[in-house]
Amino acid sequence: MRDSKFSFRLKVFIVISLTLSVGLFIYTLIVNSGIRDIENSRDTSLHVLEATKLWVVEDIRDYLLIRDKETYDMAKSFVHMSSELKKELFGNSFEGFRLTDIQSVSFVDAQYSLDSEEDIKIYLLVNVERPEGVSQLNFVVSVKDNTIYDLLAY
Amino acid sequence: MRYFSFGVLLVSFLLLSGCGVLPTTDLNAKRLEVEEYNSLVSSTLSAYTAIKQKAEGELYNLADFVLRGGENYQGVSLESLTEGELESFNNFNIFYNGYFTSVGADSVRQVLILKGYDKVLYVTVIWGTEDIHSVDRVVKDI
Repeated sequence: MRDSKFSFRLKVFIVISLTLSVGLFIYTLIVNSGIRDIENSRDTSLHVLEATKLWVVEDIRDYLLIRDKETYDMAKSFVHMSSELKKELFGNSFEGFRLTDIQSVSFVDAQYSLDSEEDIKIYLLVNVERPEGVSQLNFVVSVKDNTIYDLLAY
Repeated sequence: MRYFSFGVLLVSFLLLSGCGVLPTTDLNAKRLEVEEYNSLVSSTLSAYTAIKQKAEGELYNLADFVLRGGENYQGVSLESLTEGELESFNNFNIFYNGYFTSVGADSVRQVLILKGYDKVLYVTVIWGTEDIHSVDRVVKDI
């Protein structure tokens, strides 16, 4: 008698558990499908430009903040630059590289052009802190195939 | 008793793993966020097109203004370059002219680089929908 009561409770418990689990599964499917539909309606026309802007900022930051051989090597291996531009900016080795006195940098603005079809142009406005004070640097960066191939600074 | 323990373990596992995949996103909030983003992109593109069209029509007037200065050109005033600097730009060419924006911007940044005989003039202009917000100039020797 005691065993059959226990068996009945166990069955009820398992049925409730399975119902809850299946319910949860179906609910998840429905909500995820809704999220997917909403995400599909998102305008992605600027996504590539926004993503490029972000990594270009990181590359320029790494380049500007080279302080020693370690940061030089890290920046040189990390930045997405063409071999010609890398050679122009980094030289052949750290020994020939001219260190700057830049202490810190902060990016005031980062924008992109909507006109270029063959490449991506990114504009950066950077506050540069040196021992004598803070100045601003402007960059126009040309990117093609996820690689910076030209850099204009003023 | 063995089955019961197994059942409790199974339910605990299912419910806990269910909690991990249970979407906590509010669909309405998500829809609003996407609609707001799309509207930002749309207004950015419209502003960019309209402002760029206006700026392109003003390109040579702007070049003249940043060289010789003037009062209240598109809402801004500027001193002329010095005689020595101006001399270099008696004949100049437009080395670069580009327009920049980003999501949510209602203004457009124009970067204009004029190459003179022995100097380069770097100009950064921020165009609003009505007029110019600011002009920055940097003259450098070539």
